[in-house]
Amino acid sequence: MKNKHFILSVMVAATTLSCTDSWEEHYAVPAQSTTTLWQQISDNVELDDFARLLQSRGYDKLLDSDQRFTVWAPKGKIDTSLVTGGMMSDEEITTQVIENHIARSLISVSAAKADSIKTLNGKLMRLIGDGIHVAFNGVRIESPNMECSNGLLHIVEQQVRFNNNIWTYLRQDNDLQQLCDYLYGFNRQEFDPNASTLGGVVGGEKVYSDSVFITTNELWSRMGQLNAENTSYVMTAPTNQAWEETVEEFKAFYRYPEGIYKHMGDSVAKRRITEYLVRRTDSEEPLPYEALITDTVDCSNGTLLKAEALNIDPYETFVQDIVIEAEAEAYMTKEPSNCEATSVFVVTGKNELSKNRYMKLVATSPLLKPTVTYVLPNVLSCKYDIGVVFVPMNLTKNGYSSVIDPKDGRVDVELYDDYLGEVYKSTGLDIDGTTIDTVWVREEHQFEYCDYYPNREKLTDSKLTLKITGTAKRTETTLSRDMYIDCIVLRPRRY
Amino acid sequence: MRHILLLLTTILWAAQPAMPQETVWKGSVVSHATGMPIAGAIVTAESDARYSAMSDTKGTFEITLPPHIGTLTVEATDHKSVTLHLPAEGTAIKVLMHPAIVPSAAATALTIEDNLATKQAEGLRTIRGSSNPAQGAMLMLGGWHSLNSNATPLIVVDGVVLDQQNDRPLLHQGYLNNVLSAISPDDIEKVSILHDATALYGAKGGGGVILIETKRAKSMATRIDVNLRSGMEWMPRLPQMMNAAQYRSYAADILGNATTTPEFLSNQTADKQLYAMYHNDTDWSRAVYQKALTQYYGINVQGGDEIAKYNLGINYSNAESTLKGNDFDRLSLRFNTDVNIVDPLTVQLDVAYSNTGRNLRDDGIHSGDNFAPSALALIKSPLLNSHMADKSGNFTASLADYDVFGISNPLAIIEGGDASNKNSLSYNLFFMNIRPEWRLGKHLTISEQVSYVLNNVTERYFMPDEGVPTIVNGTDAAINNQSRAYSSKQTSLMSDTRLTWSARHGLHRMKTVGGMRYMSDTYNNDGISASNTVSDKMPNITATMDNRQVTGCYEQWKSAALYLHADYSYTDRYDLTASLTGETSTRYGRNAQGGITVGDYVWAMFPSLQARWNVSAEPFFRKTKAISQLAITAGIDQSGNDRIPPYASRSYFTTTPFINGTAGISLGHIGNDKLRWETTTRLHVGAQMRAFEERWGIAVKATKSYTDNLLVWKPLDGISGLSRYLCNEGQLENISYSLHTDIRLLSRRNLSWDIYGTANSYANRLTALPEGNKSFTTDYMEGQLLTAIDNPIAVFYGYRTNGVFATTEAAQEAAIRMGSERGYQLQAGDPVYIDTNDDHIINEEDRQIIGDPNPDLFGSFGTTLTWRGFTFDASFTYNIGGDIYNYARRVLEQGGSYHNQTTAMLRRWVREGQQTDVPRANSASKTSGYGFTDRWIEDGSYMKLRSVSVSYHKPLALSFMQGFTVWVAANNMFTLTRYLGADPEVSCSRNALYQGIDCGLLGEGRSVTAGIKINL
Repeated sequence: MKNKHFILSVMVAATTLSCTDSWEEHYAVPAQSTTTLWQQISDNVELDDFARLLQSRGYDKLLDSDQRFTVWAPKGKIDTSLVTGGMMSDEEITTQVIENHIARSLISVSAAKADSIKTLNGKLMRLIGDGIHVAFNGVRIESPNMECSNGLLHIVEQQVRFNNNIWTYLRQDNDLQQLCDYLYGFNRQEFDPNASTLGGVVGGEKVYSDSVFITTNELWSRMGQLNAENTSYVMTAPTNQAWEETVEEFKAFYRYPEGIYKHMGDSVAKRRITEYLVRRTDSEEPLPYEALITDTVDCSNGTLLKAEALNIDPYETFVQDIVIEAEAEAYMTKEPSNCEATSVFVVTGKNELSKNRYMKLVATSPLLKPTVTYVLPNVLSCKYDIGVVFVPMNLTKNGYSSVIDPKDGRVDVELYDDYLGEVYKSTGLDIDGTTIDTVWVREEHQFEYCDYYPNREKLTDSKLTLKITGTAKRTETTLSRDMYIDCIVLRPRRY
Repeated sequence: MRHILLLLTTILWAAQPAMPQETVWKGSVVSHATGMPIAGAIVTAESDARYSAMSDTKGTFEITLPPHIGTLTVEATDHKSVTLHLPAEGTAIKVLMHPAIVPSAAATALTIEDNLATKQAEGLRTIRGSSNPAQGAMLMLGGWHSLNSNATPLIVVDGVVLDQQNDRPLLHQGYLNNVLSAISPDDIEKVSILHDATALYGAKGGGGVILIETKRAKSMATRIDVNLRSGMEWMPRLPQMMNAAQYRSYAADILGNATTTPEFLSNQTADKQLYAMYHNDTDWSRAVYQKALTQYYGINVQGGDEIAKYNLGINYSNAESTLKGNDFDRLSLRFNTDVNIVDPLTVQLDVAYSNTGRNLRDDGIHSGDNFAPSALALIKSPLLNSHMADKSGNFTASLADYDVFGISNPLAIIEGGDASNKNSLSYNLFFMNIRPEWRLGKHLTISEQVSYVLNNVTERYFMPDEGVPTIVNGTDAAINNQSRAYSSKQTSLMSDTRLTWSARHGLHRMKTVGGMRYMSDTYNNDGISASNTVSDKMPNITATMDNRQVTGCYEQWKSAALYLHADYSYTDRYDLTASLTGETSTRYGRNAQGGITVGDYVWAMFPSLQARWNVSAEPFFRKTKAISQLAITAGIDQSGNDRIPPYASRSYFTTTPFINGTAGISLGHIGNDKLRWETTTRLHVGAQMRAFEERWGIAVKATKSYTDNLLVWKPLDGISGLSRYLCNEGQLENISYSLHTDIRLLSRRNLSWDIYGTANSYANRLTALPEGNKSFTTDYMEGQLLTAIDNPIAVFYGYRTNGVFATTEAAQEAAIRMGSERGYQLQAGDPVYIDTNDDHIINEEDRQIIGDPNPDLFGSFGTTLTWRGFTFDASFTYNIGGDIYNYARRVLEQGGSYHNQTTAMLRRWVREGQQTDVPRANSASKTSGYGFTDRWIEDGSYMKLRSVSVSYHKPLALSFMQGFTVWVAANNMFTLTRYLGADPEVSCSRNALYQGIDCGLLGEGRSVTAGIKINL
């Protein structure tokens, strides 16, 4: 009997501790819905139209796979014409409509909170609960949080609005047509080998069974990827009239002489305008003008501000000082055969010199005067004050030297305008050898034609040059023929 | 000394009463199983072997005893020995003897800890960490007696103190060097656990003492035992991980609300190579685990003559690990001799050598970068394959590189790191012990024990480039592959000179031992690591490699102990033991506190007084028939802990890398030359009883211990450049209970059945800490361990939770933010943190004690049944209470990364209103820093069938063979537990502060072993 009691006790103790059940309970695969999103959608007659749309683009397979999605399935008729993005094919539009209702991962909704998510087409959608219902981008969710084996299904009352991004919105607004035509004119279709399916190699050439082309636009790299959903922008979009006025205003600075470039002013002006229209939302640098905004449009990747006047001040934006570094050999048009040019680096610590370098031009011939010529590229068709910045000869790498006795100088300067065939001379200009001195050689000089060529291959093609000659005589021992030049400065003067 | 002995002798003589009249007792010895008389049984007075008798063929005997004898011992062949008190005067002595249980011959242990774990004997708690072969266990006796010093018992092998090197660094994560792995359990005769009377070991016995005696020749007859065995271990239970489909869904949740599909989730890629790469359902555990084969071959030879006796043991073990790349082998030789040189002079000469070799890989898991194949097998995505695919999508023989998530290929680490100069450890132990003993007369003996122990460890570590991501962690150059080498050597010299005086005078017996123990140790280690070998095929470190770092140390310490130990017995009823040890050590400074200064050294004093009352020997007890033996013990004992860093009392400088390659020196430590020994004082009381015709035995003990001068770290002013220094400003207490009982259930002619059980408990409490009892937390495995007054040491300190917010409404109503008023507000799917101060902010003020790693009760029980030549043996161990911080599960259920997760994460919150206990994926990233919650604290209770075996012994009367025993044993066949990790026996460290934490080391699998033992 005692033995039985003992065995019983052991069994009781074993049962008390026993708990492989805990292991099983913890690691057991929970009972979950076995119905996939696609099965749930296709079984619901109210979602027939949406289901047909999914099938048409192969999304039925995606929603039947083991990936995780959340679907806001719209009841009733689907109208693809509501999406009219720029240059979209019918297939692309259908895809946009579908992806407008699907998001990756599980998005559970609650009437007690507001949230925002991105659908597969990258659109930012707002989920707003009013305490009773939830609206998905403004459309009420009738049946929320239906769990499927591969995601969550929310049934919405109707098709969800397609949120234009800034790029596609431009196409929707007639007031912006001129701007839109200009920007869309740069669209290109490019073959994407990575997205395409390789069918084989025939005759050494790759043959693709499914070729994929993507839209590119060279302006996106300058303005911003306005068709992308992963970055947020603010765009000031001039109306047609504002656009024309601004183009005209800009063109005045881009007058070209007769010839093949005569009409280039229009395209240059437009391209320059686009540089001032877009900023990233998170950018701390504001736009440098105050446009007359008449409307604000929320887009999926930012905000578009419609402007009836841009009010861009050229002198605050693209008409800027032109500084030509004297030590930069790229600007020298004539090799100084009668002198030796050396670039000197100076550690002044006070930013006294432009880029902390100047050019030291030492005469190598006792008979010839040292001469150097610089081109003046990128000059616009407006008025400039033209100056040359000279440096005292005792400014060395380590600052002002006490062992070098600085001397004054004298120069002649000639401005050549080959567009007009004119030469403008300024002679006997004295140089103060004790300080960094800007010698203004021409004031309010009007350039008839601009020298702005964005695709210029060589700077020395410029037809505007400035020749500087040291004119001190050898007998003038208090003067130096050597020239120490920091830079050439062209400072715009307002009309 | 001579004066003292003379005085003691005089006192004893003076105290001797006149010898009373002796009495003739008659009795009989009868078998309990058959009722038949037992002939040849030897009956002896327990306290005086001069009084003895032998039973005749009728089982009867006559023994003449003086009146002070009250207890007899009876021994007979094939029977269990009996100790019993005399009956009432005039009554015949009746001795009932039970047949002896033939112990099972099953021996599967690779180290002594495996055997200790099976028995969980006498309050000793053994906690296995990794189940890699011969990895040993964390040992603890009667509670924790130290925070920052050695907390494990002292190991003494044949009288020689063995340094366990617990605090020595090694290269492979998860591996702790186990000195005991060098000693084969087959060479061990006996293990004794010394809770009390540890004062004899002075400043080294604070954590208790384990005495190991190796086999010696018992007789001059030649005896040869051959042991052969082989076994198989299956892979341990692992958490159930997600399969590919489940993982794909989980990864999609982690990816979140993305608008592009990464390659690893895309079903639509036309690239066959990419498709093959990410469309698998790989069970990575198959790549890293295996069935492990164990082999053992041993021979033991005993014999000798009147001049010399010897015992020679040679054995070889080879054990694969269930975790690939962690195999173990050991060649062990031990030669123990006892030589009678001349009549009064005997010498014990023992020599042992052991060589253990291991393959090693990192083990254990982390939430950061993992390079342990075991961890990688759990966290690596099942979508991936271990091999690379070609352009056609067919898998090649080339191993895959690390994956898109930056997780290494575990197979690449196993195969790419497989070579003796890549990932291996060699450990050599040489042991020599000489103990001459000179008998100076009838009462006086002098002995000298000299021992020399050499410990030598050589380890290599290599992390290949192939299959492993490049590591950039602040080193000069990015790490493509990494090679490390380490070697250490420790030599220990011990001299123990001992004078023993023993005498018996009438009713008095006395034995006094006095002596001096001197120990001298030197230890040095050298390590080097460097990155970027020429290729994975060439792991040797060269001067041209990047990030070269060299480490090393040289330590030398000495200690000396003077001890005096006296055993006194009055009749066989009262025993009194007293001892006093004075010990000094070079680890302490000349200004060490709490001792007696003699010359340049400070001697700490450790006294002990133990008493035993043999109640059943009292005359008044003779009429008690039910109880054959009853004794009560009590004592007080003091011992210490000198395992502080060798130069803790000294200030010193260390070398420091300075500006990429130049070595500078900086202050490395500020010494405290007033440090004193941690001192543990134990008070204990206990009783032992056997009753009901020797059927039932029970022993109970209660011990209260006080540890004073606790070594703790104290903050240093920042001006020193150091953050802390050691001081003695803490106290802690332990109270422990132990119970052992055994019952003879059946005694038949051919059938005997015993059961036994042990139950132990301890409670640990801190009573003082520095800086006004200021509590502190210790960070370990991303958890916080609180050390605070009135609590056990290092309890788990974190946040309590109450499930998961099922709805947004519930979360908004709670309005709880993490960290501060502007912190992240908990949402639906996040854990419901308990806001203890109701301020709606979860921060450190809301932390609570969420678990205690100390068990309420632990022990073992089992049964042995003998039927004819068969022995069936089963032993269970159990642990009730005691929490485990399941860090491994925390990594595997964090839900914040692309690491594969357990299937428990399939219950994660995904939608409004869902009732679940698992938070949503990515919740962890929102509540980062608040992750140490009660979700990871589990009940560590378990009951484990540690071993079950059947053996059959066949005696033979052949000229070349005396018999053989065949056996088969199964280990770890089942564990009843609620614990959700691989194994509820967890220990990542030998440090007392870091117990009860599961860092994912290899768990124990089921194993079956069969063997044969041949007696030649």
